[in-house]
Amino acid sequence: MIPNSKYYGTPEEWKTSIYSIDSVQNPHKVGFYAGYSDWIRDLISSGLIQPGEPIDKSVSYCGLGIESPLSTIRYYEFDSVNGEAVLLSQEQREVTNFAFFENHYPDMFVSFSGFSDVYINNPPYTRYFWSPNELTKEQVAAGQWGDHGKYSVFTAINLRRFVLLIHVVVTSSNTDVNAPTDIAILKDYIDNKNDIRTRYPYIIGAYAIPYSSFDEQLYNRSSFYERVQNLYNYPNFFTGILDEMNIPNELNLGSLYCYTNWVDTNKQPLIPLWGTVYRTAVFMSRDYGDNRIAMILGDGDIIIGGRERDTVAIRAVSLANDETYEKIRRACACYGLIFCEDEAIARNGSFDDENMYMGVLEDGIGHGKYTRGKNNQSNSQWFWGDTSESDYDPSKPPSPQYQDSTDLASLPSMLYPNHVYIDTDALTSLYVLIQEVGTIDPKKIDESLLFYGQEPLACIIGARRIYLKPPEKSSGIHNIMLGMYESNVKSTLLLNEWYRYELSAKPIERTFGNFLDFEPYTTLSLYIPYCGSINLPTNIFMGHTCKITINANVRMGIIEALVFVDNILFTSVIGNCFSDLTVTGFASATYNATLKDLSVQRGLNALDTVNAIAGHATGATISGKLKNKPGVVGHGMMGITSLAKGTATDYYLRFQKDHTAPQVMQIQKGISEISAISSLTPFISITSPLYDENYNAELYGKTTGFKCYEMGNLHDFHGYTECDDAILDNISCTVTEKNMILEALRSGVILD
Amino acid sequence: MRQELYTESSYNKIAPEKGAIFVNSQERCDIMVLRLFDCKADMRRVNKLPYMTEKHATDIYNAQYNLDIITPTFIVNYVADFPLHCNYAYCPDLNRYYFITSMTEDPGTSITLHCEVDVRMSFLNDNDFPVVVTRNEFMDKNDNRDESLPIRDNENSIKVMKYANEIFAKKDGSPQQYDIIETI
Repeated sequence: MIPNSKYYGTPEEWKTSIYSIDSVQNPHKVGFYAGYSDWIRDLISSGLIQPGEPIDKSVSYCGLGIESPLSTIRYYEFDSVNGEAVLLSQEQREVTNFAFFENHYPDMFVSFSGFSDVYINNPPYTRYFWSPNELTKEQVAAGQWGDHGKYSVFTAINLRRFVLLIHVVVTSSNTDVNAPTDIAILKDYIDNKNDIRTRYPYIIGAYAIPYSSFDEQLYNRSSFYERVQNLYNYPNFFTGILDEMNIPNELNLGSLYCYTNWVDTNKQPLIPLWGTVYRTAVFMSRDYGDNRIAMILGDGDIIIGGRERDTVAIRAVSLANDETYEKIRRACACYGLIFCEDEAIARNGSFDDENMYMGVLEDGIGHGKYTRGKNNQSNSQWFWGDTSESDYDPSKPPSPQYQDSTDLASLPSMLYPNHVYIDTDALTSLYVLIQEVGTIDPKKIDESLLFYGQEPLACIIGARRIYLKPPEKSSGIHNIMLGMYESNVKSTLLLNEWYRYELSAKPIERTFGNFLDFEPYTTLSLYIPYCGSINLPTNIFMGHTCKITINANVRMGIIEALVFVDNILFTSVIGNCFSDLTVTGFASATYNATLKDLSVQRGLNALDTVNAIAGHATGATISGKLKNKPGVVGHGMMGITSLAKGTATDYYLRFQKDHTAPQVMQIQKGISEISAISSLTPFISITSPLYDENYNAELYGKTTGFKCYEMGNLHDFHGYTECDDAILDNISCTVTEKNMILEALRSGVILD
Repeated sequence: MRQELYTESSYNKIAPEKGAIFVNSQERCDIMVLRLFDCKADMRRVNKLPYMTEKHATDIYNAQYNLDIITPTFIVNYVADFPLHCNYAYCPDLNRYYFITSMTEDPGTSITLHCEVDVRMSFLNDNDFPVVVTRNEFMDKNDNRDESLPIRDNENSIKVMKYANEIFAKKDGSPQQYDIIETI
């Protein structure tokens, strides 16, 4: 939608900046305002805007969906006394509205425009903050930089000339916040150009730089920075969040509407994608010897450290791998723009180049999906001239709809008051935890109430292996608590208990186009891992689509699969996809034997892990310190001893079957015939008859005709035709002849 | 009014047939004509005209005698080059088409044609009326069960459609998994 002209002017008033990216903007209107700008004063004095008034969101050409890291922000404060990172608050929005801004430095000040740097004497610290409230003269006088720059909103981005190039900020350590960092274009990083990934294997942030050209027909795009670097008062490019933010009260900034500001030492203009917000003036309270606050976009493990001035105290860190790269691409896709990860493509690639991506907008909202290459042409943005052609209306909240992965926050969660930790390294945390518990002085256990008067391991009230995709949303790294005992074992807290996954609808197309498409000739069977097989009635599903929605309790390992025919719920089945890891005494020999058998079949190394847990490999004398020999037994795995040997797939199939209790559970006869299919993939099996090898449909039609039941006049039909009955009232012939006619029709006639 | 070719006396020479149309065999009557065709059409075909080649037209001797309109026997004038291969006839006066089931030749005298009425060509080609169709050559896309359709007894095809997902398995096919540790 075209931005509200009251604040942003009419399209005719929008001007093209000659030195910025080639976009359309109105330099005489501002999205939000600073206290000292003349333009702001004019706006305030004219009554057009009020101090503290939120920014008009109509300039947001699309919404960033819940999947965008800008919709999930965590605020951490570094507690310099204890050396900990404390989660102050977090926010999650279904949709985040945003805008791109350009600021123009005032001539005499080089500042983070829009911010005042206020130096407070007691305690001594310098704060950068953005405030829509006009600064007092005293505040200005106390500060080194007292002016606020002028902001121009990019009211429309010309999509034919605008490409985002993804960059990553990388570091060499996932534990040391003071480890050196570097910046790389994503493709260069993935390709390990100049060994950058070898040297900096962790990613702490990602952002995009816009590349643009003046001419739609010519490429040779250049970055924003390249365009402005030779200018004295070169502008900066910002991305602003236009929605109310859950800013920690510790900042004591009151209600305000703020934006993120990424500025690196090279003054590269940045569009934030994910990770640590780097030197953000608003949220980085740069306290000398006091607490500091960092804003983390999206997920990522938190590492902390450093107490010195100018030292970044908090970072979000993720190991660089395909999953992380994909996460960053999806974050960029939420903006609904053209983007890439290769500089050469950013400069000269066509918009449907194989290495060019485009974010998909669904009802104007980016959920992280994207197209690539020629498929970019299937997006509505392909046909836009500029972003003001978007239909997205920020004033209308999105209607609830299924997404690929979303939190079912409306369902009751059982996460509290228990601690629920999630560990994606199989058995590692549990093993280490048990080892650590084994080193605790028994006297300490008996005399204290650390473990609420019980065995330490009794504080572990649940341990299970969940056979699902690890939940995406989790908190930062925490030490596992056993009662009041804080272990040294780090893990991640599970934040949300329910997830919903959508599997795309599969059309079930008819093969024959006749009765053979239906039972008893053709049968349909739907297999869902851990739930079993479901017979799908052909008279309901044939010619329609079958869609599956999985509601997963990621804590308990219970899934409910909803099966839809088109968009109508047909049935639901429940399955268990967990394996209890009961911490107890056990018959290790039996367990090891069965697990070895299984692991050999599956080529797993699970046995080694189990042996280590039980202390067989390391010889740890855990049992000497606790009453029972600790260990881990797979509850359902004991049943494997009775299984016949078979292929790895069969083993796994039967293992799942044995320890699940689905409500609809009949493995279809004949499924062993398709054992090549992984049992971890939902699938529909269609069993159909085959025509006789000599069958010729054309000949059959001419000689026998196909069974039907139609009514009409004789000459409405053609070809070989048999009729069961006819009305011969108007035919002049003898009775005998009429009978002959009926007999001829029954035995078959050939019509033109 | 057809040409009068025969006198009453000559008619009396021929034995009367059953199923006469003309009641009074003594009366002078119009001569009936029989058109003969070579028809290559399937006998079940309704409109045989495109497949008919007319070969001869001749008078019927015994037209005035009892003729069975369903299975008549026509006696026609003998000619040397009589098209003995004709298998189809049309009698305009009876307004019916006939299959010639057999011929008997009396050289120099007459040829006897044994016929049977073709109700399809005679009545179905030019008339249209309501019917209930139970089989048809072109209606193969309908869901009525046809037990005569030949399908193999002991052989089926199985088609599998997989849902692409990473909920249960990773891209390499290994199972997705993670551990949950719950503590108090």
